[in-house]
Amino acid sequence: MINSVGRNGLDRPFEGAFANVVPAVYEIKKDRNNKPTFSKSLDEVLDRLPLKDGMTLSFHHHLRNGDYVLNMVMENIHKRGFKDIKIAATSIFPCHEPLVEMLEDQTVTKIYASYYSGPVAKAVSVGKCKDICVVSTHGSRPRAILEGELKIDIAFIASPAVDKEGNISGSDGPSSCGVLGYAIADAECAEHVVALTDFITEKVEKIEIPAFLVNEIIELESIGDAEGIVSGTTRITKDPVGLKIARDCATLIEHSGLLKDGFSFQTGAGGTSLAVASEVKLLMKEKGIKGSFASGGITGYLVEMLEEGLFEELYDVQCFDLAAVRSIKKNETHRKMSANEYANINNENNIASKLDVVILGASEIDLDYNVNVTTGSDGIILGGSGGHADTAAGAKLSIIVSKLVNARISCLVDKVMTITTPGETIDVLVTERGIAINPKHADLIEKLKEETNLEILPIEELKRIADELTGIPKKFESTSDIVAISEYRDGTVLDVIYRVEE
Amino acid sequence: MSRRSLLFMPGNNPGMLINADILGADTVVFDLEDAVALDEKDAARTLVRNALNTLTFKHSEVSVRINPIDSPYWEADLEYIVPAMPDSIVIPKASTEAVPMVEQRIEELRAKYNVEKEIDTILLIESANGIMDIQNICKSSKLFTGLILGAEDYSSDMGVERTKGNKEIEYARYVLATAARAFRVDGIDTPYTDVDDMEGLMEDTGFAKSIGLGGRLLINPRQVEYVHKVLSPTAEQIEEASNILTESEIAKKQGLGVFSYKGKMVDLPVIKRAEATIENAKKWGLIK
Repeated sequence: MINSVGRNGLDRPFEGAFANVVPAVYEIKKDRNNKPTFSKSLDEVLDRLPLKDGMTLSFHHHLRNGDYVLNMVMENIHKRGFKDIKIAATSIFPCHEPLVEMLEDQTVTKIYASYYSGPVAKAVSVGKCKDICVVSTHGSRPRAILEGELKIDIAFIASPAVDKEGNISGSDGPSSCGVLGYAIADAECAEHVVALTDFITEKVEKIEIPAFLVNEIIELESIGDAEGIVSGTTRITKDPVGLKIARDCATLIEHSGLLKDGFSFQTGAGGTSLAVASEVKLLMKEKGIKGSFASGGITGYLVEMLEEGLFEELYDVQCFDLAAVRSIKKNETHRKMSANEYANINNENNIASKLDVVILGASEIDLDYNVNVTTGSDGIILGGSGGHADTAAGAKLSIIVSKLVNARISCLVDKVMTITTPGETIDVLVTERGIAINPKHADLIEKLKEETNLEILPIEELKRIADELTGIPKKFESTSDIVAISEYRDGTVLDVIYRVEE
Repeated sequence: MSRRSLLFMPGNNPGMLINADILGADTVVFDLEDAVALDEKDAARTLVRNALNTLTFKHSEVSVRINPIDSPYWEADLEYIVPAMPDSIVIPKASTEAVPMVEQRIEELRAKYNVEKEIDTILLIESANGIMDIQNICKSSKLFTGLILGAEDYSSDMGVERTKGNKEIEYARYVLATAARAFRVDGIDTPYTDVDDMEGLMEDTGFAKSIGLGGRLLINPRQVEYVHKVLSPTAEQIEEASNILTESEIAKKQGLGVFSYKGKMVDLPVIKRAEATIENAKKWGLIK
């Protein structure tokens, strides 16, 4: 069925960013007197669990590319010969390469994740997974779990620190990752919850997953490679083009009317996004503005802004660097949040909906402002929404920062290959050669033209400039076999992703 | 002409040429000389010509530094570049011999290729003799609109080490600044070579400004905004210039030749300076 953005919406077509909001309050139906069992062997625990073909196993990605847990569990399941397993991971990283073989022999037949990168992403793209996979959003996943749409049989939770009671925290231990925000819904709703840890301590501070939610705790030698878990530091770009984009973006924010006391802000960990944060920081200092909060994946840069009093609070669903990991332990106002609290469209208090400004990237954007961060120019999956669609819809002003021309490829196209985020939720595109503003913001366009020297252009004109530099690329031809869906935050189908020839 | 920043870019780097216009410099200088290895000279020449012919430069003036007349490349450089109509040509190792030779060739090529656009020159003074003979070099030029100090070659000619404090080039800076003012052209300072030290860059540029140099050669795009911060008029200066021009209009209507502004006598040179400030502020996008 064709959906409201003109794409194949299968049997659950997308109807508009806010067409299916059903405010909900979730009740956790778990026995508060439950106490977890401690053991030291994964095998022993798996022997006890009611494993079966076709079950859904969940994992989180807080250990990022340093995660050992998914591979450890799945290799054991593989060895035991189970088939038709569904994997509900929050994200898939290059370190999860062993899954490729399990897709090929149909140990695993479906993946549900918000972000895919590396060999598994490629394997899905070339059609190695039997069923259609789901590329969801960080907000859609907890919604689906809490509302029973995505049923998890066993949640395997990589747990950097567990105390004697069985309470779990992400901010201690040798595999500390700061926060476990993406794993909370899994712990609350899965039939069985298995925590895997390499650090048991007397008492954990800032508990994220209380002991009563956990059935099994397995103490192992190591659950992750610290090198791959968080980057040492995230750095502002030195690329002059990225810096120019950041400066213009900050000028736009300054004149948007949103940069005042109480300002709230989210930005990613990319070099240009950090450069925007740096420019915004200067403006806030210069004007004496005190912001209310910054949110999302948190970097040292936002920690500095908190510590300098530029924001009252940080809401952190995932730490991007060591400075953020350190801060969450010591700063009271650096708060942990779950993915449900972060971005669930049906949770009326979700933080994403309280944002003034969010800075996002794009690998492609089209004349309707639809954004693709899911597939590359070769049609292969290279990412996914993460919180892209959630924050774009939530924030008052969603700004895409992107080079218009990068490595001789233009980011502006007639129609994006895959819609990750619908254009109705994108407000501005800032490039090095001009800024395009969604025509629904006629007043903002006027204001910026009057008050600034920013080059505000119709998006068609910006595309013409790009085409002049790059020529018009040949259209990419994929097959007509669907390998995955791009799922919107309300669970509807925004787009489908086609198989590419290997 | 008034140039705060001249950003140097190697002429054989396509990625940099493509982005040249968006880096905010008043002038970009595509270099065919020192930044280009000998076996890349041909490629750079072609690339720069093609860039001039195909890319649109809306925000920056475009200049090309050709090779010096004691090299075998300069004539071919001009043959390729002049028909592509840059705004100006930077003449390296400027001397009373080199400047007329290059300028004559530019004029010949303009005639040959029917180039109506005027192409001016910027003279790079980079030797002890260049500093000593600067007045004659300036007099030998018909097309120049700027003087640049090339302190690396100059100090090497002087047999002195470059130091952080730049004491060793102070004399050359004063001479170049004075000559530029005397001939009413842009005085452009030598590059600041530590591209990560923005405070040092700003402090050193502040000194250059204080002795009358209004522009600076840059070797990294990140330096542009810092140099502009120092070399642009401040908001107060712009406001004062604007007020003086308003008062001047009123005085003119009343038939007064001179008038006073904030207790100070305002005469023609002050008015001219105010006009230049406003004109530059508009050109540089500091006011609408």
